[in-house]
Amino acid sequence: MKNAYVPSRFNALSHTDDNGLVLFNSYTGAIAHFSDTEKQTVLSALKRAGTNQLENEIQEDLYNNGFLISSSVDEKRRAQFLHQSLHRTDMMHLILMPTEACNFRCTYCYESFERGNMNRKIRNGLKSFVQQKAATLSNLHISWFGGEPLIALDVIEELSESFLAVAKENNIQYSCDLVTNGYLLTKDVFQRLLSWNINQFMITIDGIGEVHDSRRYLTGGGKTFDTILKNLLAIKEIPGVFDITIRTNFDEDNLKEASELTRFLKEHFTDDQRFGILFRPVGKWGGKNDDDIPVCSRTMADKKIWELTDEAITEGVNMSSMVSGSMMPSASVCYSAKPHSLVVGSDGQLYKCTLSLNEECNKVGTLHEDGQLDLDFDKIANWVTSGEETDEGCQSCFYRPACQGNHCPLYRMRTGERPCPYEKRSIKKVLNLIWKNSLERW
Amino acid sequence: MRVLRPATSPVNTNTMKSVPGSLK
Repeated sequence: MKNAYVPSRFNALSHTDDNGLVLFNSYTGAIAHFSDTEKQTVLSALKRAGTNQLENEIQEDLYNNGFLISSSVDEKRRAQFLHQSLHRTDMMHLILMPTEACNFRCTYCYESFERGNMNRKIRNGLKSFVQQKAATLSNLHISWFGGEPLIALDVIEELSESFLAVAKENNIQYSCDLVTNGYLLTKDVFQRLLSWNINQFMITIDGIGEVHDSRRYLTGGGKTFDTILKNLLAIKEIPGVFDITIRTNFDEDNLKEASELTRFLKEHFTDDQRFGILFRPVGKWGGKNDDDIPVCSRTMADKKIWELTDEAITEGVNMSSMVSGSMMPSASVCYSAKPHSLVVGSDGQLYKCTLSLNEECNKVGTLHEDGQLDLDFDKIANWVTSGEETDEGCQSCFYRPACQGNHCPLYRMRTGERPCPYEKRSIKKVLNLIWKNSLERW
Repeated sequence: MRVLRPATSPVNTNTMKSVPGSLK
């Protein structure tokens, strides 16, 4: 006779620097810290054989957060059902390119900047499409991307005002994020974006001054660091709710200067919870300079991401909310793998993935001026069904509910390797950092 | 126990561009 309660297969556990424990469950998204004095009780409760009744408060807590589950639960079916629930039709995520032009020419960029601003027909088409879908939507998320989206602020304004009105009329929860190089993000522009419900931002800074300017320069070669910093400092003075991720892309060229950047950010942003840092390794992603990029080895990249993050937290700089955000159920599934997500190019070309814009398998349809979509469902199926359903390793993984084997279908297609997220690969270290990052606020 | 993030009902509850390595 098996015990009534057993530990979840979706748990991960890490020992913390204070002799405590952090527990994470990828199906419920729960994260909890236990002190030195509670630790033994927790470890006993999580033994594989389980327990027949909940004998103390800690065991009750473990059960309520999904760390202990009823032994009658089939967790693989739970995960399978969660995966199927991505097909619900009341949620939609569109990644829009108001322009495919850019005022920067970053050394490691994979884009080709062949198309400019979104034309009138496509703007009309998008507005009609969203209007037609609205009656059946409960949730609409727009990611403003490009190119550099702020070059086409008028397009963002026109579309936002239409989407906001439709969302209000149909009681749709409407949210947005925006990826920008930060050069045009003045205080005035920022406030306009906030008024259009755009309140999550990602801005890249690759080092201080010359380090950044040698990697992320203007089309004509000009410097950009000082302007971006001036903009960020002005934004910091704005009251209001928003979330800015300062992203640092590193390779062998700027790795040594990353600590200097962390100390610099500490001076300016340490006391503002709305700013957080995210370190990511540069990869060969299809840009014209790929052969010349001194990318870090996989082992080195895995190590440095979290070493640099640890250093930042120790200095008092916040870790980006994206790290723990990506560890929620379904949150590490790439938009390219979600059935109700599309990328809309500025010419109305529809894609699933934002990296491989020139590949036929990624050109999945066209948007017309009347809001109708022509879609190639065979191509879409390739992106949507190549995850956990094709990979027994993913089916048995503790991280399955978060990424569902679909963190990056492109990576799986190109390399044949499993596209495990960086967080999963270093889960113990990451859990310790989430705990450490929470201390200041507690 | 200190809850750093509460449990959710995942089917009812997400709406990071991060490629997990080089593509070639």
